[in-house]
Amino acid sequence: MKDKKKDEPNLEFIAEAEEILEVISKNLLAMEESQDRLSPHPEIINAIFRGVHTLKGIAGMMGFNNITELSHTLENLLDAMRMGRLTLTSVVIKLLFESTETLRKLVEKVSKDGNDSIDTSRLLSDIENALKKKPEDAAAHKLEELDLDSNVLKVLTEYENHRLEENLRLSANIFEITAGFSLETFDKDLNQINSMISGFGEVITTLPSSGASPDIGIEFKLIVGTKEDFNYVTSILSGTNVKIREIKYQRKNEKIKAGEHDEAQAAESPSSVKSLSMTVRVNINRLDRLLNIVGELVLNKAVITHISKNLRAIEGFSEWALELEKAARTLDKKLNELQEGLMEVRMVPLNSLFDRLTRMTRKLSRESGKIIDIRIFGEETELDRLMIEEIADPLMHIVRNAVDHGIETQEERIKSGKKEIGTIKLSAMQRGGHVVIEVEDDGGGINIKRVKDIAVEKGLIPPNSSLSEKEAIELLFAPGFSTSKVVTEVSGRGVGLDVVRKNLVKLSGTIDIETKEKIGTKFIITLPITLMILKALIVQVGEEIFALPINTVSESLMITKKDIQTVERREVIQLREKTLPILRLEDAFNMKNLDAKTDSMYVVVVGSGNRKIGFVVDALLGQQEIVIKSLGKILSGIQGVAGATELGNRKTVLVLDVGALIEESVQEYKEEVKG
Amino acid sequence: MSKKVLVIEDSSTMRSMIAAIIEEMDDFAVTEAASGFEALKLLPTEKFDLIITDINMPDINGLEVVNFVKTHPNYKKIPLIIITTERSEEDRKKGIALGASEYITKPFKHDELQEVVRRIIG
Repeated sequence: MKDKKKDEPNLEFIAEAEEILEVISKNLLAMEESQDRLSPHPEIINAIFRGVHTLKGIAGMMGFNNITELSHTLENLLDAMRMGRLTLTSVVIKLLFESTETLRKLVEKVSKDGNDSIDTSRLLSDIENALKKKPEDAAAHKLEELDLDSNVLKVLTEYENHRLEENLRLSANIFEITAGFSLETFDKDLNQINSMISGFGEVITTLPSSGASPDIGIEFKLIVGTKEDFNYVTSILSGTNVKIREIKYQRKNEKIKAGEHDEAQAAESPSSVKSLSMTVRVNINRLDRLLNIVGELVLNKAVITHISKNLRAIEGFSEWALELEKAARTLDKKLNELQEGLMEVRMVPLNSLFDRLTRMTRKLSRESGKIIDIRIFGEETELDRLMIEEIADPLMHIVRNAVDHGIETQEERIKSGKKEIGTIKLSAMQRGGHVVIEVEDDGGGINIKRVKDIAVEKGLIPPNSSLSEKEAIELLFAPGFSTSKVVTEVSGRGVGLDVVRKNLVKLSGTIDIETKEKIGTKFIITLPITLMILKALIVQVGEEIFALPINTVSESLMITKKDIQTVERREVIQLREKTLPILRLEDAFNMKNLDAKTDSMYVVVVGSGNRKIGFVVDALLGQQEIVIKSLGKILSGIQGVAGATELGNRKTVLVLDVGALIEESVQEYKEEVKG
Repeated sequence: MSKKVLVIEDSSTMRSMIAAIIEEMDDFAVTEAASGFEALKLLPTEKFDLIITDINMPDINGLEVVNFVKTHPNYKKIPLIIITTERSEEDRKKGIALGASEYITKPFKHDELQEVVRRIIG
């Protein structure tokens, strides 16, 4: 234990230093990608400054003098930049990159040899030289004259002070935005408002106060600088519950005659117009509304196509029939483009979610005393905005599991000859209409025997039941299953993988587990890129018509009665040397058993990974785009139905919830085996 | 009963160092907050005897933490120590003016921090 304590600070230092350097690199890249690389968003410089500042602090405490010295000098440079005492030039940018690289080498040296002895003298003197460049004059405004609560000025750090002055210098409008929140959710709520503001301005400071009900609530005052006016700010923040006040002050140019006014201002801030980004922030609800309209248009299009087909059937190749058919085709094409365009707008990259997960992992690993390296791949993969919100919790749960149950303690890892530092790999990639997200750890893997023991203990399976590895892993998703011996701080309480799967199924997603003992575990989540409008396979069972989301269908085949066998009281067919369980939809929905008149029928294979099943249907009616509508409150509880949709002939049909049906059939099967 | 200290610091290395130094002393228990927001959430959950806060943090700064605590009816009696750097003299003065009891400058020694903590709530 004592020895471990001794090594730990170094490892923790290296981990955090690497994290900091990563942040710095990201911001340097953001700076390079800025519209005007010589005047990037102030927060970029400040973020780099903060990183270097922290690095200096911790290196100082650890006694790594070269890192301390270089980050100290670099901090001086960055401080001069963020405080407006030094202008950013190409030379400075080059120095920033070079310094970051050198810091990386120094940290590497620490991790290899435990010391940081690399000569940095040339770089140090280069930075010192750059610092000698003449400071730019910044005529200070008198902040005291601002119509601001005096308490606000008292809590501004030097940097925030400078940012406020800088905003005044550029004749920006200053707003005070006040909002109250509950103590439980204020961070989320505030982040939302912050991200709205960052689209048009800069949050100079965020001041918390106890507010009117200090026991349950908290109030925040944000001071914001922007080029936009009151009406604009109010309209952007209209959906939120904030009070907005403009802080008036005497602008330097206001005394100038009207004619010169514009010119003078333009001369003062040459990059002001350019630096406004070319983006518009839109409330997601508005996009939803547009998408709904498109959805209805798609239905209308289907009606038109239907009419055109009928007309052709009646009239043959008449002029009108051909005209209508052509028009319907064009409409179809344009609607597709419109739909794709709208979908694209709703797509956001996964990086912010991945960042959140990274932070959480680092925090959890500290709390659990395990040292874990988290690696991110494919964070640029895009997913529908709403989808990202919905998968955040399930993903967090899985990552938590990986930290808590997956990665072993340091002692165990050393004993089994593994690297001391555990790794969690978080990756995303697009595959056709799906996004696959994987959470992979190099931990101990799932102990199948233990899983079985616990399942027996909990009465989920009878003792001595012979389950394959796959079936045993499935047990992890059974309600109420948890392999953790003790409820730890890290893993959630009571919420198990069953909930995770249920939530993913709701999104038409699937989850699979691959595990190897002593090597690690991989969770594979597959999600459709977007919800709502989707291609469906229309099938007929008896008199009823159902729609199956095509992204859940892997193939369909024709079979005859004799292809169906019964294994353990369950109907199956053989599909390429594998046994595929089948489900008769008329049974699932308790429909009249029509006792199939013909010998041949169709099997639609749905699901993915280990969870495939075949739906038996009477006929395949073709593919069609559908818009899923909810069934309303009364019918929303029906198992196996995701919603309803209208087909082109104005007939309403049910859209099957494939995930739930698979679930149900597996469940039933288990109960049967048990009984 | 052990004394409860809330440490607010965004650097994890620094935070665990401070925690280790304080927990070395008898009868001190540390709760760690990685950001100002986290601290605001932790404050109502326990009765803290002391708060140690960094100044430069990404969400709300340490001065705002001091001001929040010192003007809040439930927390205003909790003493605070601010962690500063040799660079930020202005910030240090402001922190003390807002009601922080002490400051300590990075990099600091083991004993230095323990001494300051003892002076305030020993």
